[in-house]
Order: sequence, then structure tokens, then C-alpha cells
Amino acid sequence: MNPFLHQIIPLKDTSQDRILMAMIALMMCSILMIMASALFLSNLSAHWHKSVSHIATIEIPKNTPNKTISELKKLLNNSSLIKDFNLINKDRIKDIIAPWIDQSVLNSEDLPLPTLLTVSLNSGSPIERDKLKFSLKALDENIKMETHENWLSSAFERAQTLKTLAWIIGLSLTLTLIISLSILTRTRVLLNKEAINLLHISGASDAYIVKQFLIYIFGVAFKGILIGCLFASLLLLTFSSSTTPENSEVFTFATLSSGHMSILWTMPFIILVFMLLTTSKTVTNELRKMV
Amino acid sequence: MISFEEVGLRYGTQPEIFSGVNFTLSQGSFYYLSGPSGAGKTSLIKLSSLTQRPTRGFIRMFGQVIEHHDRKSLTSIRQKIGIVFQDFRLLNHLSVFENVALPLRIKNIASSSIRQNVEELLDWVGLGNRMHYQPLMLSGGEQQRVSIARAIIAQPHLLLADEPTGNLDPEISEKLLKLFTQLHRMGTTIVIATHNEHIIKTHPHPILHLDNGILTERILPTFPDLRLKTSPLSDISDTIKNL
Ligand SMILES: Nc1ncnc2c1ncn2[C@@H]1O[C@H](COP(=O)(O)OP(=O)(O)O)[C@@H](O)[C@H]1O
Ligand SMILES: [Mg+2]
Repeated sequence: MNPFLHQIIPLKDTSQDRILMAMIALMMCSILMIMASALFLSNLSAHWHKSVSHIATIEIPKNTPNKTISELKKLLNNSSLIKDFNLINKDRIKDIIAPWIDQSVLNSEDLPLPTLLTVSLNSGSPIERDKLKFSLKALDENIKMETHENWLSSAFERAQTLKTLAWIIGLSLTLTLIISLSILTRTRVLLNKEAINLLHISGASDAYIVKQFLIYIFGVAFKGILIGCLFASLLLLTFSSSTTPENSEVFTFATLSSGHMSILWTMPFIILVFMLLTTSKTVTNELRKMV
Repeated sequence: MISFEEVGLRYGTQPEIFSGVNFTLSQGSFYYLSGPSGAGKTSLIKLSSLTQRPTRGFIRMFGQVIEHHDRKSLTSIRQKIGIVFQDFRLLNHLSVFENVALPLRIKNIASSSIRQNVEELLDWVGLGNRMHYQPLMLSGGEQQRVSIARAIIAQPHLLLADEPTGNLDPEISEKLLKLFTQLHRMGTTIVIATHNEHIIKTHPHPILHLDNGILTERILPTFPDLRLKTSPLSDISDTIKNL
């Protein structure tokens, strides 16, 4: 038996249904985009954390005595915190500072270029890091180790704020969708009061009438959500390909993990269920007021 | 089957239409409801079909006191009642067939069975060739027959009809009364609100007469085998209660 054939309450209204469907599609698309951004941001900050928190730079001033340098080498070799360290090439340093320094000065041997070491760290506690910094300082006042922690935490905080903001916007959109649906459903109940009354008088239960509304809303909402998802996928694909710069470490929506993807694509189902629950609740409440 | 105890009804702030109506209809009875226009026949039918709440008193149906907030039992009681509305109340967006099928759809009867029953009944009321029309394409009399068909399709225990012959010509009215008589013989309790003196005379049954908010029971004197009663119904309901 096809339940669509026996829609007794005339809920179908082609032009209004289209508007409703478009609204649902738009909301769904926005919610997905915002959620994707939030997930993307959390991905990004996690990535920063992973890649940058294990790198430090050690700066050795130009005129440091050789003895100190060999002691430094020994210290670095023996520290359990240090996985590996490399000298940064002098030319590379020159490249980095070139824009700020006159060409002739840059080429002179007198330029007091420091020696820079990149150090990759084992994950250790902040106390261990402070210990290492302390022993470096004991070796020579002028040797400095930079662990990027300050920069990292402020960037992390910013990403966190944006993520929270995205969630709030996503939730508000969902709420707006649910409230509009509730208002619309109530209007439909009032518009069809006569048919509903007749159904009641003929012995239809509230559940029977609610089912008619659910079938109708499901039809419209399902299509709307599907269209919204389709648009969101297209947009995400477009962004992923256009924001990929050549030969650089890529962060795009395409890098979202499968876990994040599944969170993203369960949202439409959750929203559909919420919409159906809202319809059911609204209609039931309205029916209770009738004979 | 139905009993009213001290039932009063007022619309808004208007004076009461009924002031403490008492009566009891036993199962399998057949009553006419008469009275001048505006006496409250339709209102009494509405109360009996649970589409109007009384402002005071109790209504008991099928052995149950009606509590309008108990929606489950309201639903099951309503499924046992068929109503012919004075204003038909057809759903104009549905076909004649679907209008008549409505009570069966609500009961989740199988489509094949619905098809057979509805077609048969529509043939019987002479609308077999109008099945796929919409109500607004029919004459008043035809619409009335649709509403009658809808009221009896699910074989109700109680049939309430509000001026069912109002728009019908004498021939179809006669046929309709034969149908009602048939349903009555099968055990359906029937209440017909009507002005139609001719029908009351040709198909005699006890009359509930409404006037000035007072309900009395009458039996036409043309049938000497029946005892004439003009006493208020409250007395009768007492005797019935004491049985
Ligand atoms: N919904 C209503 N609101 C206000 N007054 C009503 C309503 N229905 C009926 N009435 C009034 O109640 C009285 C009885 O009406 P009704 O029951 O339709 O009588 P009848 O069917 O015998 O002609 C009339 O005076 C009518 O104006
Ligand atoms: Mg009337």
C-alpha cells in the first residue's frame, strides 16, 4: 500500500513546498559548510601542534669559542629530549635576511652571522624543556633556544575561538531551521483545520493525523536536505582544489579525516530526525487544542 | 447506548440552548429528532457525536462517561459513530470515492476490500458513475448521498443523521429510509433529525421533540398499538435505568 496515495489532508502546495525545500537546502548547505570549516580548523591546529611543537631553533652567536661549541655538541648528543639536530646552511641564513641588508654588507666576511641549529625534539614535559634551556644558558649566556611555544599557543587559541564561533553559528542555523519549521507546521494545521476536524470526528487518532504531516514533511525535507548536501559537496570540492597552492604543505577540506567526514555527513540525518520530531511535537500540541 | 444527564449547552455568552437535558437511548432503537428550526437539533447531534463539549452535565456512550481529555477512548468511540452532517462536510480536494473511503482508511482496512465496499455502496446510492468526480462537481442532493455513504460505510453502531433528506427528492428519500430501516434491523441505533412529516408518517418511529430547550418524547397517535407519551424524557430514562 502506498501511503502517499492516501494523503487525506491537502498539505501539498507546490509553490510553498518549493520555497520550504529551498530554505531547507540553503540551511543544510550553510550548516555543512560551517561544520566543515570548524572541523578543518581543528584539523589545522592539531597539525600545527604536531609539526611545530617538535621543532626548536638554537642560536649560537658568531664569536662563540670552539670549546663551548664542542661542549654544546656533547650536551645535545646526550640529552634524551633531543632526537636530532642540524646546522642551517650559511647561504640559507643569508637568503632569509637578504631583503633587510645591503648586498655589499651581506657578502662581506665581517657580517656577524650567528650559527643556527634546527633541533627536532622528542615529546617531553615542559619541565624537561626548561631544564635543557637552563643547561644551555649555563654553558654560555648568549646561546638561545627558541621552542615556538608562545607563538603556537596564541595561534592555537585563535583557531579554537574560530572553531567555537563556527559551532555557535552552525547551531543557530539549525535552531532557526527547526523554529521556522515549527511555525510553518502550525500554520498548516490551522489552514487544514476542517479536514483535521473531520478526521477526528471520523475516529482518526492524533497519531494518524501526525503521520500524514510526517509523510509530507519527510518528502519535502528529504529533498531539501539532499539538494543542500549536494551543493555543500560541490562547494567543498571547489574550495579543496582552488586553495591548493603548488608544492606547499596542503591544508584543504580534502585533508579532513574519515572520522571528521562521517561526523559531517551524519549531520543531515540528525537534522532530518530533528525536523521530524519537531513536526510531530508541533502537530500533537495543536491537535490537543482541538475537539 | 447514549444517555445524557443534566446536559446544558451555551455558545459563548448566549443563553443556554439546553437547560439540563436528560434522556437515554437503548441499543437498537430508532428515533426521529424533531423541532422548529433553531431549536437545537444540530447542536444535540453535535453533542452526541462528541464534536461539541457540553457546558455542563454528563454524556455516557457505549457504557462510558465521555471525558474529552481522554483522547484514546474518544477515538475508539468515534469509530463506532456514523454522522450525516447537515452541511455534508465533504473534502473537496478528494474524489467521491476517497470521501466515502475515509472511515475505512482510518481503520487501516486493506485497499482491495475498500475498493469493493465503496464501489458497491456508491452504486447503491446511485453514484456509481460519479466515483471519480470531486464533490463540487455534484448537485446538492448528490453531495448529500456521498455524505450518507460515508456515514454508513464502516457499519457504525450508532448513526446520527442531520436532516439527511433535506436535499433529496421523495423517491431517493424513500430509498434512503429503506436503507436506514435495513441498518436498524441489523442492530444499528439510529437518530434522524428531520422536518419531513411525510417520512415520519410513512416510517413511524418514536420522536424526540425539542422546543425551547426542553426535550420530550412523542409517539405518533396514528399507531394505536403504541402507547402515547408526552412526559419529559427524564422520567423515561429513570425507568430505563431501573431495568
Ligand atoms: N457555533 C455556534 N455558535 C453560536 N451559536 C450557535 C452555533 N451553532 C448554533 N448556534 C445557535 O444555537 C441555536 C440552535 O442551533 P441549531 O442546533 O443549529 O438548531 P437546529 O439544527 O434545530 O436548527 C441557534 O439559535 C443557533 O443560532
Ligand atoms: Mg440544524
